[in-house]
Amino acid sequence: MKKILATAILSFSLYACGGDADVSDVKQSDSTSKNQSSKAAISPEVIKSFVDKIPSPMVISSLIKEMGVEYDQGLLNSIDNESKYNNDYRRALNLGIYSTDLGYANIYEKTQDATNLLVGVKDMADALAIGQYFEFEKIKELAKSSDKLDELLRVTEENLQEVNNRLQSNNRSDMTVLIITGGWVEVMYLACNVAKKKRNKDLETTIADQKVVLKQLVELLNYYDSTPKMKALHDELVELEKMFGEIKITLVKGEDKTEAKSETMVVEQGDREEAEMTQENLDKITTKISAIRNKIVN
Amino acid sequence: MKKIVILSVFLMTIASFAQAQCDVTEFTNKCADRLKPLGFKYLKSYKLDFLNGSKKQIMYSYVFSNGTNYIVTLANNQKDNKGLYVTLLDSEKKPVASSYVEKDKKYLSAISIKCSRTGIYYLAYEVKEGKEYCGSSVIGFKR
Repeated sequence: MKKILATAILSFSLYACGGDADVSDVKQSDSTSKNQSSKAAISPEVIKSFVDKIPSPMVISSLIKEMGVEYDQGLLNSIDNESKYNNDYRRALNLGIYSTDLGYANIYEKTQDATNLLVGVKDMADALAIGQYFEFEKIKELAKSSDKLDELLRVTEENLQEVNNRLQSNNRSDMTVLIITGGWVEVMYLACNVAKKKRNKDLETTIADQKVVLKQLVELLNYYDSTPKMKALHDELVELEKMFGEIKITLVKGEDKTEAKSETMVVEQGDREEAEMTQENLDKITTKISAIRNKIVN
Repeated sequence: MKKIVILSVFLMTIASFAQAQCDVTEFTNKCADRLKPLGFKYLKSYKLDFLNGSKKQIMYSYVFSNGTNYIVTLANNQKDNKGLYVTLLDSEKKPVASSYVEKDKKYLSAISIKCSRTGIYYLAYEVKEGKEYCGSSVIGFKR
């Protein structure tokens, strides 16, 4: 009976872990082992809470399109660069870059570019052993239909969320941090270059407000300072943060108003922030973000 | 051997049941379906598993950007998401709004906000009454 019970408990335990059965399939990143000692001190919950709050690059890409700015293929990272990404550090950063570019192409309904970029996303994800969490065929099909943009954005976002969850639960949160950082650098590169060509108050405010996100990324990367490459990236972002600190931001205080309308509680915020971005601020930030991005993609 | 197999199958069934207890796919779809008619695009979804009531509150945070409209939708197994509500808090964790209207004892299905101050906002989900400890929430945005 003891044997029966032991066998049954073993079966049960293995099955109960079924949700994470593919954990062993996910390879350890090449930075993981070097970084283990510093990582051990970081609670996965802390990393998750940081990662969860980083906004999707889609918000800025949408704003760029709604400004009436034409799509610029020249801003995208070329798929031809793929062969340069020969380690997990570069793959993860460029997975973030290609994902942001994919979102940008999708929003503009540029099917051919989206299909090419999807190859880049797939190759980077496969090389990082996380390709199984992307529904590539589904994304490819949705990208072909202009009336399925909402579903496409949802599937892409859900896939990225799943990848990040898997990486974190597999002790590869360093890769998550790099994917997110790459994605943010790319959307800032897009936004700054669009703003330089056509100055727009809304876009400049959005760029200035990115200091909040940048602060989160700097804090996140700080946890991995025992890895030289991540330390170098952290230091670059710290320099960028100083440039953001030079932008004048005024807070106008006000009272919040809330009202229940139909089935929704509608909030009108009282406080209002206004950023004054000078040409010098924009030039400095654009130059720095382009330099950081250049190191990542080339 | 037969006993082992029977016991294993029994335990697997229990495990399967336990795992399926909070499947939020249907609720997430319900939340996401509300976005498009209101002009919002999908941004992020959160699984709300209160672990059969042992978890009293689930808190998430997200950076909201100035000039962007956000909507936080909610769904559980009830038609009007009865029992489940969300409180939106600002970066200082000061409550901004709740989807529960105390005076009417009503559970609204969403909070929408036009953000005019970029910062980290907190979403505190709670179950006030009933035993629906599983739900979902989706954030959408529009400019």
